[in-house]
Amino acid sequence: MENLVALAEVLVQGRALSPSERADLVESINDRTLSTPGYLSLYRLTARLLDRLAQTRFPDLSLPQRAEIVLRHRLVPDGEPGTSSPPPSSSDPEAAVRVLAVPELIASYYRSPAGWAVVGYESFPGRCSDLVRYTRPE
Amino acid sequence: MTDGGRPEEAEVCIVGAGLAGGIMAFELARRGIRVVVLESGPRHDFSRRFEDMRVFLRGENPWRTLPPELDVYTLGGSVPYFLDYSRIRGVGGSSLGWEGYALRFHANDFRLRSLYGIAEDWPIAYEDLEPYYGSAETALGVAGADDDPWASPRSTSFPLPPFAFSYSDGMFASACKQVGIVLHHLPQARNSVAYAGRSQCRACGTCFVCPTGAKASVDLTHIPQAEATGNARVLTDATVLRLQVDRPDHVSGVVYAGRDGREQRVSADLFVLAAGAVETPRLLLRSASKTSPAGLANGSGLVGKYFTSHPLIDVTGRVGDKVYPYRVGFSTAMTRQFAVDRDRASQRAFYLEFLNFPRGGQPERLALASGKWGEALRRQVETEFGHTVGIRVYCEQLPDPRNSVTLNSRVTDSFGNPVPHITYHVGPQERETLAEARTVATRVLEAMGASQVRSSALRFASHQIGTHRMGRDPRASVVDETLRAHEVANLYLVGSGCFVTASSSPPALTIAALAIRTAEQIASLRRPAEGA
Repeated sequence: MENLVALAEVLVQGRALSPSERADLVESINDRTLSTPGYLSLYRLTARLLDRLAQTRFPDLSLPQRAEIVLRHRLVPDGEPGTSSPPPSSSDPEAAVRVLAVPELIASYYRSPAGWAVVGYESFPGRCSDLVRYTRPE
Repeated sequence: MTDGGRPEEAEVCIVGAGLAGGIMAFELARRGIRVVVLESGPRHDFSRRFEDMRVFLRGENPWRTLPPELDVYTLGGSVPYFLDYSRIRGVGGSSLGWEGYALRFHANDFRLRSLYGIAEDWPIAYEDLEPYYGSAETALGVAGADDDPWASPRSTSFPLPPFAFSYSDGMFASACKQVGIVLHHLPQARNSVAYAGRSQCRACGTCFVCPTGAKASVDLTHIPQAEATGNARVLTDATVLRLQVDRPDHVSGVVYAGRDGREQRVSADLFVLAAGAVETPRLLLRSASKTSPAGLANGSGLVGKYFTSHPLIDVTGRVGDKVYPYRVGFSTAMTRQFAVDRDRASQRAFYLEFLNFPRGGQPERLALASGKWGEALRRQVETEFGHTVGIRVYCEQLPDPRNSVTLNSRVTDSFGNPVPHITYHVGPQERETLAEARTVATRVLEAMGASQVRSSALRFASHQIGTHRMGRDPRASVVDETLRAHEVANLYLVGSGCFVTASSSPPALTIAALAIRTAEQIASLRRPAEGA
């Protein structure tokens, strides 16, 4: 999990996440891995790859060092959004991370309370509120 | 399940515990009629609703039931009509996941042939259904206002006050005024205030799964009341495989199976199929016999024909001011200006829904669409969020004889039965109307100062209509105006499959009103001394 959070910090904010942001992200990742077959092994593959590319524990690297690895090994999609990529093969773990793990990590963060906080929402789909708020500006 | 293989017996056997079946069960049981309801799916436990909500928020379908082979279908025609999210097995049926919009049809919707020379008239008029619309609104708890200039006359007020207009509705209203469009409240079966033992809506924003029970669904409204009478039993995980006849015009029993595949039987005096406009015709077609080789109640050849829905598009744009979306999961404003007063001989009806939750504008969606990462991604989400506005267009579709539900014998479900095959086309007039509606919606968005206005691809509402249409002529319809099968005296077919035409309004309230009316008529036949 530490590897995933360390990668997510590079991807979703470009900075270290606060403890509450980390907690939201971890919950969102756990939700996905517990419910959808395949994500646990995808994330294990991601964690192993990151350590291999870092030649040390990936979370031990500084944020710029982590970002440099992400860039150098093209772990973020480099096409236009929505461009369809070929399905990654098992012999190309970088592609699996780029096509599957990275988008899911970004989505996990931005659908969590931390992601909604980025846009200034304390209540959002899934966190109930009242029938006054929606009638007014925030 | 029945004990020891002993057949279950009832006065009335209802197949399906969704909106129509649930209402029928309660309306009959409260009049002392013994009812057995066979439901193919499980009880979706209300105490798990918050968990179901989380599943939905992950982009998965919490109402999906096992085995998936039970829901296999195949597609034909020029446009794929996918059933995946649009049908729900289980107590509550599709009312578990519906949006809750509860509009009456307009009086003109029942008379397209008389007024415009197109399609067919219904064998009943709006005035016949009006009191039942009122009963349905009371039973489901419809929140609404009398501000729709195109509404047909009503004899009762809405039981609940309307939901207030949203912040973005105010912006839509100003723009609509500029282009000569009248915006009004959208009636919905959702508690604007606590009602009938259910809580006020708490704006959870996930109406496909309402975790508080504020949205009406018959697993909360009608089924528990039916069971509380002591006259109704609901058997879950009981998939009906076929109907049995002892003579051509009389059903003697239904055969159903649980998950273990063991077949059991229910006998009853009357049978009501309330399994939706796909499964009901499928069951009739599967119940073919020597005396009814084309399928039960299918002398007209119309069982499964005229499958109809509501084609829809979203038109979205970007405005400079923030509109603060996603704070409720439903819309609060609409206009029926284009649904009634127009020449429907050459133009289909449509209505506009002003969205409080435009597609693609959530932080997650914005992030994935941006192609950015790191600090640039955060800035993009922060900057872009809240500026997307959207209008949804629902278009009337006329019955098309090419559209149908048939059996595909080459593909079978988990019980070995042929799966439904959906053949679907969208006609040129529907496409022209969608193009016109796109222009209207674009005018509204441009009056708001929107840029980047674009239209979504063509999609379809989860409304399945018309596959066992009602009428007076047995050669041109499957059921009569009481929804009794013309050819089978003790068989009723309820739900939107009986609609003659689709309107542009969602079908739920009309399904409910018709179910109440049919239950009343069945009760008057079975308990004449007590009155209906």
